Amino acid sequence: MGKKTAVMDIPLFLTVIVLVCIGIVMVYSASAVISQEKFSSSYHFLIKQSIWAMAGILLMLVFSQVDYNHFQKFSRPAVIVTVILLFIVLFRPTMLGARRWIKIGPIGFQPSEMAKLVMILFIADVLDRKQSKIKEFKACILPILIVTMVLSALIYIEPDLGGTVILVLMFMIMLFIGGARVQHLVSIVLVSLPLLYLAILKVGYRKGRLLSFLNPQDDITGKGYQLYQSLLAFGSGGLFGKGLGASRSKLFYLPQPHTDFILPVIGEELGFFGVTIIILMFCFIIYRGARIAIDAPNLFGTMFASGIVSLVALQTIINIAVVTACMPTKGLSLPFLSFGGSSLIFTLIGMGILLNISMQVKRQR
Amino acid sequence: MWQNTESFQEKRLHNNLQHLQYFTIAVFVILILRLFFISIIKGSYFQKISEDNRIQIFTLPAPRGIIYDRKGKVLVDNRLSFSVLLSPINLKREILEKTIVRLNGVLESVNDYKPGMTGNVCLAEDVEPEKIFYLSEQKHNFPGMRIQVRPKRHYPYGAFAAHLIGYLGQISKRELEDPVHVGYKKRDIIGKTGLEKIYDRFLRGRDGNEQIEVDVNGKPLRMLSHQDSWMGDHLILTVDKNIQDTCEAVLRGKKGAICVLNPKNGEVLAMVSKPDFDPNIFIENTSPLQYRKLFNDPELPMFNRVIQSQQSPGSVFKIITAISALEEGAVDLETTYNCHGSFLLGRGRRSREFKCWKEGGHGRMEIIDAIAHSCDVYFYQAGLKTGVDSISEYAALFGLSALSGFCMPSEERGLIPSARWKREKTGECWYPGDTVNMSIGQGYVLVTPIQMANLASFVAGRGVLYEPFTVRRIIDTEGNIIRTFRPKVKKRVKLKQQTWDIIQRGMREAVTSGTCRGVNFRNLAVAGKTGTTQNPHGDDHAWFICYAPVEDPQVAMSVYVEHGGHGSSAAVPLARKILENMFNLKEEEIVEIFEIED
Repeated sequence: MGKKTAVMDIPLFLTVIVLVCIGIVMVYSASAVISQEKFSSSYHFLIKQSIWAMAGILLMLVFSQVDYNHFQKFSRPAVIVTVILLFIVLFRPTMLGARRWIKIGPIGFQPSEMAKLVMILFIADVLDRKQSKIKEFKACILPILIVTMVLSALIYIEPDLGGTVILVLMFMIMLFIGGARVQHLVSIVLVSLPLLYLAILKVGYRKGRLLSFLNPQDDITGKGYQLYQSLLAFGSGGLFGKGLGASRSKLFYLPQPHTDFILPVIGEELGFFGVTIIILMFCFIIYRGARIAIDAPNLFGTMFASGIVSLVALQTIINIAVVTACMPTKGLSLPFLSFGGSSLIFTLIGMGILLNISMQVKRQR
Repeated sequence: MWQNTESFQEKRLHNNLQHLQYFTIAVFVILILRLFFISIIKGSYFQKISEDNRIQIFTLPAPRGIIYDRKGKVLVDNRLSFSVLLSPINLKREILEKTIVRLNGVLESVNDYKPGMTGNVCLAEDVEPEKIFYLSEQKHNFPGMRIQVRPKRHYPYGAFAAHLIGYLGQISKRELEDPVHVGYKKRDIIGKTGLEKIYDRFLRGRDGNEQIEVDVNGKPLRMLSHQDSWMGDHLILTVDKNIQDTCEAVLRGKKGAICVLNPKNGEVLAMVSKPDFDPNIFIENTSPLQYRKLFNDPELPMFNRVIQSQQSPGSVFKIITAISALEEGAVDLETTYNCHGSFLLGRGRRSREFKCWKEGGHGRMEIIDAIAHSCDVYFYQAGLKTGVDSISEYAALFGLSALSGFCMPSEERGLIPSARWKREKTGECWYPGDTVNMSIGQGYVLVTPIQMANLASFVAGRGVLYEPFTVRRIIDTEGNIIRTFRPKVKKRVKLKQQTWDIIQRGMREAVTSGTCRGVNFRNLAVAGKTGTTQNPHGDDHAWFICYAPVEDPQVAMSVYVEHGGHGSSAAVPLARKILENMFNLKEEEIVEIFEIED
C-alpha cells in the first residue's frame, strides 16, 4: 500500500451536493400542485425530500470516513440480510400495485435499493478473493450468478422489473470489467433470453408498455400517455424553458412528475439548456468515479468503485432513455434528482464509499 | 498497481474500464442528441400540440350505496342534480373572465373562483333544470363551461333515524391526513357521523372519469376514454322502519331516546334520539349560518342521546341492587323490611332520614313486591347490607360504565361509583349515605339509554347479552353478499336460577300490579321497571325498560324522556304505543291507573 492522500475528491463531492439541491428544488416545483391536491399542503414532498437529502448527505460524510476495506468482511452477511429483507417485503401490503416497502415507524424503506449496493459489494469481494480464477466459471462466476439470480428473482416478484434489469445488467458490467471470459457472459445472456421473454410478455401491463413504446402517438390516452406527455413537456420547454415553476405538464397531465418523470418537468421549465447541464453533471460524476476506480489502491477498491459508478451511470441512462421515449417505461428513478428516500439515501451512501476510496488513491500517475 | 505479479491483469482491467467509459460517453452523447431533437428540432411541433389540444380529465362522482331497512324498504337513496363546472386550464384569461361574468348573470350564487385555479372548478351545484336548459342551449357563449349530472345523497324521510344513519360532508384536512382515509381525495364527500361514516368505504363506490381532448377554447374535440363510476355497496339494516316510525312518533316534540333491541341476537330494531336534524341540509347549499345554528342549538339536536346522554337511572337501577343483594346473600325471598315511608340512617343527632317515594309507606315488603312497587326503603336497607363494592361489581358485570359494543365511536361510558373512585375523585371517603343513594340509582350513578336497553336484554336473556348491531348485510349492486354480520355474544353472566326467577317475577308484577301497569296487556306478558331521575335543575327525567313476551322474549327496550317527569307517567305510555304497534294490540284494554313513583 502506498501513501494515502487523505483528501477526498472535492469536485465530485460538490457536484453531488449541487445535484441533490437541484433535485429538491425540482421535486418541489413538480409536486407542489399534486401535493396541494392530495395533502392540502404544497410542501408535503418538499419536506420529505429535504429530510432524506439531509440524512443522505450526513450518511455520505459518515461513509466517506470509514475505510472501505472494512466492508469486505461483511459482504456475505450483507447478502443474507438483504435476502431476508426482500422476503419480508413480499409479505407487506401492496402499495401502488407492488410490495416494495418495509415500514419502520413513519419511515418507508425499499430493500431493493439496498440490494443494488450489496450486490456490488459482494461481486467486488468475490472477484478480489478469486482474482486468479476469474476465467473459471465454477469457481468464480457461479457463486456470483447464484446470488444475482436470487436477489433479482426476489425483486422481480415484488414486482419491480426495473430493479431486476438493473441487477442483471450490473452483474454483466462488473464481470466484464473484472475480466471474465466473453464466452461465459454471452452464454449467460443466451440462456436468460427466454426468461426475459416470459418476464415481459406474460405480464399484461409490461406488454402494453412495450407496445406503446413502439408507437407512443398511437394511443395517447392509454399506455403511451406518459411517454406522449413527456415528449410534449420537453417540446414545450424549447431551448431555455418556460421558467422555474411554469411547467404545465406537472398539472396532472404527466403522472408522477416528481419521481420517474422529473426530467421532463426540468425540460419544460429549464429547457434543453438546463437538462444538458444536468446531464453534464452526471457525466462529470461518472468521469471522476471512473478515475477513482482506476487509481484505487487494490482490486477490491477498483471493483467496488467501478460498481458504484456503473450503477449511477446505468440508472441515469435508463431513466433518460425512458423519458425521451428511447426505451419502454421501466419505473426507474433518476439518481439524486427523483423524489424517493431509499433511492436517494443508498445512492448517497454509495457516493460516500466512493469518496473514501478517493481518499486512498495513490498519486503517482 | 496493486501487486506487481498481476500487473498484466491490472492493465487489462483498466482497459476494460476505459472501454466502458468511452461507451458511456457515446450513450450520453446519443441521449443529448435525442433531447436536442425532441426539444429543439421537433420542439415547436410538440409545443403546438401541447398548447392547442389538451386533455381534460373529468371526475364522474359515483352514487353512494342505498340503505335499506330489514324488510327492504329504502331509507336512504340518491337523486340526480346538475352541476356547472368550469375548466380554466386552457383558457385565455380574457375569455375566462367573460365566461365567469356571463355565468354569474345566470346563476345567482357562483362558488369562489380564484384566477390560477387548476383542474375543474365546480361553480354551482344543484342548479335548477330551467337554467340548465338555457345554459346547454347557449353553450357556445360559455367556453370552458361544462354541465355535469351528479348523483346526490337523498334522505327521503328527512330526520328519520338521523343519528343512526348520520350525514355527509366534504372531507376535512384532518380526515384527509388520517391514514384511515388513504385513497381519498381533497373535496371528496364522506360520511361524517353514523353509518354513513362507519361504512363509508363500502357506501362510497368508485368515481369514474372521462378524458376529453379540448381545443384552445375549451371546446371538446373528442372523448378519449370513459370509465363509468361504480355505485357503492348497499347496507341492509336490522332496523325495522315500521317500529322506528312508531318510536319517532311517540317521542315527537319531546326530548329523549328510545332503543329497541332483539334480545335473542342483539339486532337494533329501532333507535331514536330527539330532538333531531335533517341530514338533507348538509347536502343542499346550506348557509354557514344555518350550520352554526344547528350545532349551537341549546337543545342539542346533533347529540345522539341513545349513546351519549348520561343520566342517573333512578329506580331502574334497583334491578342491579336486587341482583347483587340476592347473589351475595344479603337478602333472600323471605327477607322482609317494613316501610313506614322513610328510613333512618345512623342514630341520635347525626342520623339522617331517607324518604320512600310513597309518603305513607308500603308496609311489609318482600323482594318481589319491593321490585314491583319500587319500594325505596327496602332497597336502602338491602343496599346497605350488600355494600357499595358488591353493587359496583355487579353493575360492571352487567356492562354499566363500559361501552356497549355498538359500532359508533362517540359512545359515552356512564359511571358506576365505588369507594375508591370517590376517594380519588373528591378526596372524601364513601359514606353509608352514598350507598343508600346508589341502591336506588341516584347520586353518582350515570348510564346511557343503550346500556339500559342492554340491561333489559340481559334480564330477558337470563344472563346472555348480544352485542347490539345495526347492519345485517352489505350487498353490492348486483345483489352479491359482500359481508354478513352475525350475532355476537357480548357477555355472559352466571347467576343462580332463583335470582333470575325473582327478578323476572318482580318485573312482571311491576306490570301486572305495580308501577308500570300502563303496559299490562291481556295478550302480551310484559316485564318492566320504571325509573325517575331526580333533577334539581328542572323536571325529572323518566326511564322505563322492559322486555316481552316474558315466556319467550322477542323485544327488549329502554325509553328515556328528558325532563319528562315520572317514569310511569312519562315513559311507560310511550313503550305502550310501541308494543301495541309491534304486537298488533290495538283493541286491548288495559288498566289505566298510574301510580306516581319517586
